[in-house]
Amino acid sequence: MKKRGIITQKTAPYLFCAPFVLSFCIFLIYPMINMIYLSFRKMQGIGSYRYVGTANYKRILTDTHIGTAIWNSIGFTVGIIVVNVVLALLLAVVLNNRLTPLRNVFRSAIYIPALTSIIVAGIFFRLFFGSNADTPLNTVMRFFGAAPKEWLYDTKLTGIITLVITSTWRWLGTNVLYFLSALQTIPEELYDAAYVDGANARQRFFHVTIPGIRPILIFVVTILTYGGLRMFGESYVLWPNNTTPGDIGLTIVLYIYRTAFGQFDMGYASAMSVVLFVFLMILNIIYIRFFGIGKKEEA
Amino acid sequence: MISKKRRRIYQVSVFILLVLIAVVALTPFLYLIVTSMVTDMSQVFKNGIALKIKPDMLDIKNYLLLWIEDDGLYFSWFKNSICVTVLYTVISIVLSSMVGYGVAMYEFRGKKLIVVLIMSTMMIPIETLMIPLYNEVSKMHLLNTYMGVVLPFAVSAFTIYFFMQYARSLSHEFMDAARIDGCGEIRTFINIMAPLMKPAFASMIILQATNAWNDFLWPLIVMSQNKRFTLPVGLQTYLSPYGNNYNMLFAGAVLSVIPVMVLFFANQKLFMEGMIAGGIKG
Repeated sequence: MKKRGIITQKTAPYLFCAPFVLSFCIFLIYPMINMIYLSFRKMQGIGSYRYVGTANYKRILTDTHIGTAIWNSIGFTVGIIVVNVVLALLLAVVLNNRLTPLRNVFRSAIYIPALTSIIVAGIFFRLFFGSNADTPLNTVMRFFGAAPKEWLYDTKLTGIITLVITSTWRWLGTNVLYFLSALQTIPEELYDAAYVDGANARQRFFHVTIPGIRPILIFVVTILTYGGLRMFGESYVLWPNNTTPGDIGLTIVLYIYRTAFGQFDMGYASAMSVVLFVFLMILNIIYIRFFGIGKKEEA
Repeated sequence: MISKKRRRIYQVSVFILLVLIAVVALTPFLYLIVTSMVTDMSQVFKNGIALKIKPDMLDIKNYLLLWIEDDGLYFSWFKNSICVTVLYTVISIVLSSMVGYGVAMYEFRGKKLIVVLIMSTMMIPIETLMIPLYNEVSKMHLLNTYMGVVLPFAVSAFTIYFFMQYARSLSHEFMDAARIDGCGEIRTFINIMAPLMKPAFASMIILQATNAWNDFLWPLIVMSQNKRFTLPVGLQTYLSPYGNNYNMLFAGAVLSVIPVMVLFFANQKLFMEGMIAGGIKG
């Protein structure tokens, strides 16, 4: 064996892992501590802060905007999970079936919106949800005898619906891919065996497909939960004005962003970030305990 | 086993469903391309998506506007986006593949801890850290610089995880053979092992480049001078109808999609297969 200087088989892994450890400390641990520090302070002028105790946290409890923002974010998250899981799973099953014509063409077509930025999606969907009576949505409304709506400024619920549709357009393709990758791990023999045992298509779906893709199903629900609760861009582009009547479409992260970079109330925005962070981490632990994500990784 | 007739019915009904979905997925692109050529944007603004477009309304003037207005500000955004995307992709792929490979191929003290930290970092929403990160980047004098956009997220836990999963399938025999031939650990990685991970590199390069190109929140925070904007941040300033804004918004949006589309279609097979085969297997 030749001499190899400092980098040996023993030290090499530490060198390889160094970027992660450095980035973890500099861009994660330090900012986290800094954020907690700021959350007990109020900004006065540029870069100078005054200690205000728990005032920022108390303010969260009485802030009506944050209440609406939380409901919008939760409503959006539930909507996006239901629509994306059901639709993406259905499409993945169809696109995985060998009988389906032009599978690869459709896979790409469905994935293409995932390549665009939220701005591009926002330009289209702002017009799509316009108040004109002959937009596609309002045509459907009139078909059912309802009055055309100004979807973006009607109620909080229509606001959430517009957000769900806009994000589904961009997110669906990725989720279809995730489900496709899971479906391909289910051995064909399982379906044949179920078929021979007399299981119909529905039974095969619930007793072979669903258990077979359970891990990825949990994964998709998890990323949709986080994606939903931290959503910012969709809301930002659909309502580019600083405020909307009744806080339609205001989400938690958008409110934090506006508090921090619109009103420069860094202390209060930090306090809200801390609460959101803690909440998401608790959700994390619940998901891991409940669904057992990450168990495989420890082995 | 299934009768021919039932198979036919399935194929036709599924085909119709898929065509419908594909139309929904692709209509916005078509709409944006056509609308980007409408010169009288007040029509678009008034009628929205219901606008009946006639051929005589169309012209490429809007694209010329992008070139002329504000001394071609749009193209400095384009350049910024290219720089940020290239820098981010290169730095992130090099560093993340190193870490993923190191964790997967070596046994060492603290390995378990690092794996747990990587896994939990994947779950941390960066949006909650935007304020302290902004302060930090500001203190490092990196506001309005490419590095300010790139560095904080260059080591991506998701990418590390992907490389880690991929590297686990590699055989240690190649490493041992390289060592016997006198290769150092780093050269073993660069010359022997990294080439074996080519499919993982391909998937991640496309994915990271797309993400960097489309990223919005963080560049919006870091870049405050309009000459330093990336495309999404710049285009967003045109969202309110004012002057020539709308003409440039539509044309600019169409141009901004082209690089990603080219990247995707050039590597379509590689990418789709890489994502499906190498995807997260739970």
